[in-house]
Order: sequence, then C-alpha cells, then structure tokens
Amino acid sequence: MAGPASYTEIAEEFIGERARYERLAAVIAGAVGTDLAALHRDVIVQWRAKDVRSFVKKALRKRYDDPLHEIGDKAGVRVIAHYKEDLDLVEWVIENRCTVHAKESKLEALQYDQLGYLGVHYEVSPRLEILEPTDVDLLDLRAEVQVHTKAQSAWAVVSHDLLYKSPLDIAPELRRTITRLVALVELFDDEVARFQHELRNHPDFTEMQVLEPLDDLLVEFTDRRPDRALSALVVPAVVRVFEKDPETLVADVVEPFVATHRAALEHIYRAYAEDSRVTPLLFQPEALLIFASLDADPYRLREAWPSNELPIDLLESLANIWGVELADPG
Amino acid sequence: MNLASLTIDELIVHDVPLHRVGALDNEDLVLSEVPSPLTVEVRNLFSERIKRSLSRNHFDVERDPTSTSPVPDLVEELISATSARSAAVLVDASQKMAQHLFSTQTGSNPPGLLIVCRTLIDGKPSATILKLEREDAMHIRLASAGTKKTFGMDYLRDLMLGKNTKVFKAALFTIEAQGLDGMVSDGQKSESNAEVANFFLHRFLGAQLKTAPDVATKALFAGTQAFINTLPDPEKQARYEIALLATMNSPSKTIRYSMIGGQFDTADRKPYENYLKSVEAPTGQFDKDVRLIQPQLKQLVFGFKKSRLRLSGPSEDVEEFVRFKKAQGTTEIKDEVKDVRGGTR
Repeated sequence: MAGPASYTEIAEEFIGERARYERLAAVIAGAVGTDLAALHRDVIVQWRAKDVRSFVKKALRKRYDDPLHEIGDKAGVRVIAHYKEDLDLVEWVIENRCTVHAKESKLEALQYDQLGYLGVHYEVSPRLEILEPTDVDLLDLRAEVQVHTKAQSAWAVVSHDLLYKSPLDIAPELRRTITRLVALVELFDDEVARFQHELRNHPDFTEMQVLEPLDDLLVEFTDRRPDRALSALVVPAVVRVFEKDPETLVADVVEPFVATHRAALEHIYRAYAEDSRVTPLLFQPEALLIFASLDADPYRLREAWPSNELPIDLLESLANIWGVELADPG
Repeated sequence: MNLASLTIDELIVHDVPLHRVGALDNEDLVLSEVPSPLTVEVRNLFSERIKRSLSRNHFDVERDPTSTSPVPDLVEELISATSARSAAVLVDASQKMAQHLFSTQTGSNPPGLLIVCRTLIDGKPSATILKLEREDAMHIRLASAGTKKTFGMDYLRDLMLGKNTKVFKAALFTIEAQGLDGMVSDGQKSESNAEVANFFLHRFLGAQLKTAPDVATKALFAGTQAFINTLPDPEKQARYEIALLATMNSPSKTIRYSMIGGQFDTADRKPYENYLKSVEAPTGQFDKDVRLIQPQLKQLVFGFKKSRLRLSGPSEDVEEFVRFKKAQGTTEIKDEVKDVRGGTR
C-alpha cells in the first residue's frame, strides 16, 4: 500500500503542469478583460498560476490523495470591479467566455448574523473559441475566477495578510476587529449602488450624459475647466431640442458638426482665448451643442432656453459669435 | 458666406461730419493715417456686431454697373491687395471712401464714423464697411461731495458702439467669379424717407440688390405657398396662408422670410427656412414689391382632395366661418347659403 506522497513528489508533479495552468489563467484573464474593456467597464484583472510551495503546503495540510485534481485554484483569475452594479455584467462575460462548472457567492453562504469574506467564485474551463490552436490542450483544465468589488478586494487582501499570514495565534477579540470591518464593505458597496440608482433616476440624468463626450470634443479647442453647475442648468434643455437619444446625440450630431466647422471653431476659440469680456458659456462643453443647435434650428433653441434660470443674453452672445440670428419666439 | 468664420485683420476709422451742401461752416473730415490698434476685446466686439447685424437683416447685393461711386473699385483694390501693401491700401482706399461719403451726403444724412476693415470670411479675403452714428450717453460714477457720497455724471458724445447701438450700417464684400458679391445690412432701409434709406446702398456703396424687388417678392410668396402646401394639416395650412397674406399686405416697405415664419409654429420655422433655400427663394431682407402677385393677395382659395369643389374668400371670413377637421376629413362652413348661380368654372 502506497504511503502519503512526499513533498518532493507533489512538487514535481505540479511543476510539470504549472506552465499549462499559467497559460490557462492568462487566456481567461485576457478574454474577460478585453470584453469588459469593450463594454467600457473599468475593471482590474489579475491572474496567476499557483505558487509551487503554496500548492504543496495545501496538499499536505489538507491531506489530498490526488492534489493535482483536488486543488481547484491552480490557475487563478481575479476580476475587481469598481461598482457592485457591474458584477452582473462581469458574470455575463465570464459565462460567455467560459463554461461555468460551479458558482459560489460567499455572501449567500453566510447566515444573516454572520460576517465574513465576500465575493463570488467561479470554477470554470475556457470555451474553445477563446483558445488559440496552440492552446487547445487547456480546454479541459479548470481555473478559479474570483470576482470582487474594489471594497471587497481591499478587505480580502488586508484580512488575508493580517489574519492568515500572521506569525502569532491571534486572540478572537483581536481577529474580530478586522473581521467586523467587512460590515463597512457591505455598507459602502450598497450605498454607492443606491447613489448610482438615484442618479440614474434623476430627471436630467439622461441628458447630462452628453457632457463627457462633449468635453472630449472641446479639449481640441480649449483647455479651460468648465463649470459643472452651469452645465447642469443649460444641458438638459438644449439636449431636448434635438429630440434624439442623448446617448448617441454627440456621435450623431455634434461630431459631424465639429468636423464640418472645425476651421471656424478653431478660429473662434483662438480669437476669444484672451478676451476678458467673453461669455463663460463659450468655454463650456455644451457650447458645441449650442453651436450645433444654432446651426440646425435656432428657433427651437430660443424657445427651449431656460430663461427663468439663465438670461437670454448668454445664448445671444453665442449666437453673435456664431453669426446666427436669434429670433424672438413668435 | 459662413459668418462664424469672419475675422477682422485690420481696421481704420474716419470721422465724417455733417455736410450741408453749400454751407460755409461745414466741419472738416478727420481722416486716420494708420489703422487703429486693436485689442482682443475690441476686435471681437466689432466682429460680433458685424455678424449680428448681417445675420439679422441683410440684403444680397452686387455692383451696380450704372453707379459712379468709386467704392466698388476701392473695395476690389482692398480685397486684392498683397499682404505687404495691405495696410497702405487700407489707409488710402478708406480715406477715398470717406471723402466720397462726405461729398455725396447731404444735410439729411447724419454725421458719423466710417470704419473700413480688411476681413477674412470662409478663409477668403473680404472687405467690411461700417457706418455708425455717434450716440449720446451718460457716464455715471461714484463720487464724493465733501464727506458725502454721490454719483457724478459726465455727458459722453463719442460713444459709438454700444450693445444696442441701433444705427449701424454694415456691408461685407468678397470677389467671386462674377465680380463683387456682398451683403448689406442697413437699419434705416425700411424707413419712409427713401433718399436716406437708399443713400448707403446706392449712392455711397455703388451697389444694387441682386434680385429686383418685385421678382424677389414673388419668389418668396411662391416658395412660402409651396411650403405651406407640403404640410399635412389643413388647419395649419389655412393659418399659415393667412399669415403669408397678412405679411404681404402689411404696410412694411421691406420683407424677410422670418416676418412670415415668425408666425409659424416653432417646429416649422427651420423647415420653412430650409425649404426656401432648397427652391432658391430669397432668405435675406429686400424691398417688398407685390405688383407681380397683387391678384393672389386678395383672398384665400382652397382646393379639395376628393371633389372638384373650390372654396375662396377673404382671410378674415375663412378665419371666422371655416373649420378644418382633419381627423374626420371634413371641412365645415358655419354659414347659410344665401344664393346660387351658374358660372364658367
């Protein structure tokens, strides 16, 4: 009867396989990270093959008969999202790119009166379509994908370092000082999610989404910092004049307008760069939207202008700069 | 011409006083000998006022071949000058323009300042001529009387370009294949004194409207009527047609499409402007002359989709007695038949 495998035997067996697990982790991390970037999600993707020493220690400590098959995290990928609300999208991408054999939500595993490690772990193998021909040998291998929010990740790293790697046997009351911090992590993620929900439900939220792409266009002409409070007063009304989807308004209307009138816009921003009497509206991202609106339909813009909050002089000053008549509403 | 691209390169100012023909005590012209130095603010302020004036009520003009005014040739000389000679040409040409203005104007033309600019529009050299009248103003400033605070007031005679300066004539010229091409805005063009109204355009600038007023009026009328007939709502069609006839029949001496379009629903104004441009109907301001369309201004005439019926009458009767019910596809006349007779059509 064969006795327990020795440290050297276990190590040699894993060393022979480790390079494959390293490739596996890299392939999965690359596919998931690329898809999330394409979806404009700002995430951090980390990957690694398990360290040989850690593998052996785990095998010996847990007395696995067949550690190469029984240890699940030989290839590990970690996806860290900024926001809790992005986690569903991360899962969707993982399911698209991998076959999911098991999913474990750490929160769901906790009782309502327990605190502990958070995050979701997936046991996966890669789908054939993400493998290069030279990597098809990875098809049947399994990796562990951990998905965290940034807050969950911060707590996991700190608690792992302080509690599990500690050289001392830490007293329970001292362990609890670290463990109980995870309540703040839950609170943090939930409050951020609530804030985002409230923001999206604000009546002007959809219209205000044009600001970022407008800002990207405006930096071609000026580097002045805009006044966001002024934008909040102007943008919703001007966006509504176009009667188009705000998400595509800049790409569909303003970008072609800027491309057509680039020379005139460059001239204007150069001419007014040092003009002390110029309207502040010129250096706001929404100025490009207003110029496009003056060009397309000054009548509707004049009517839609929030005159109860902003003097019409502001709009007239831009109309004078653009050389367009701003007719009074009939 | 894309007014957004207008740039002022250089500018010169001449003082043209009142000129009473035959008077011995006329003041002398004060002619600048070099262009005025321009700060960023002054350059932009002039540029904005020119754009504002020309965008609101300009006439499309061209050289009047019968005119003896030297201005068209001077403008061409100014636009064509090489950069090395541009300042010298600006001084010389503008002084001659000022002398021409002074010698041709009479006591009914108010004194003012003649400003000539070398400009660029759409990247092409151009010339812009402005005539401003002096305006009175008070400068009010905090002062003290002994130990008491008060406001001191100074009378300013020289203020010439305030935000709301009304008497502001502007002309912008470029050289195109067919010759001198321009746009002119004249705040006095619509006034009743024809001599004063036409002085700037004809006698001083030596220019004329591109399209004869009667032809332009007819083109605007026809273009507007065609636009109205593209609309699907008969109630709106009737309302807009009434606005068209009312504007054409108004006592105003000049007309511009916005005087009609201003009575349309906001959502229809830009499509109306675009439609006029697409059929090359005039969108600038011009003298109204309804001689060619006089018979069509007397009453509204409606044709119908299914029948050969026609409905005609004065616009005020249509407004009072006719109701268009688009949803039901019917037209209702709220009146009783008084008599009936046979006719040719």
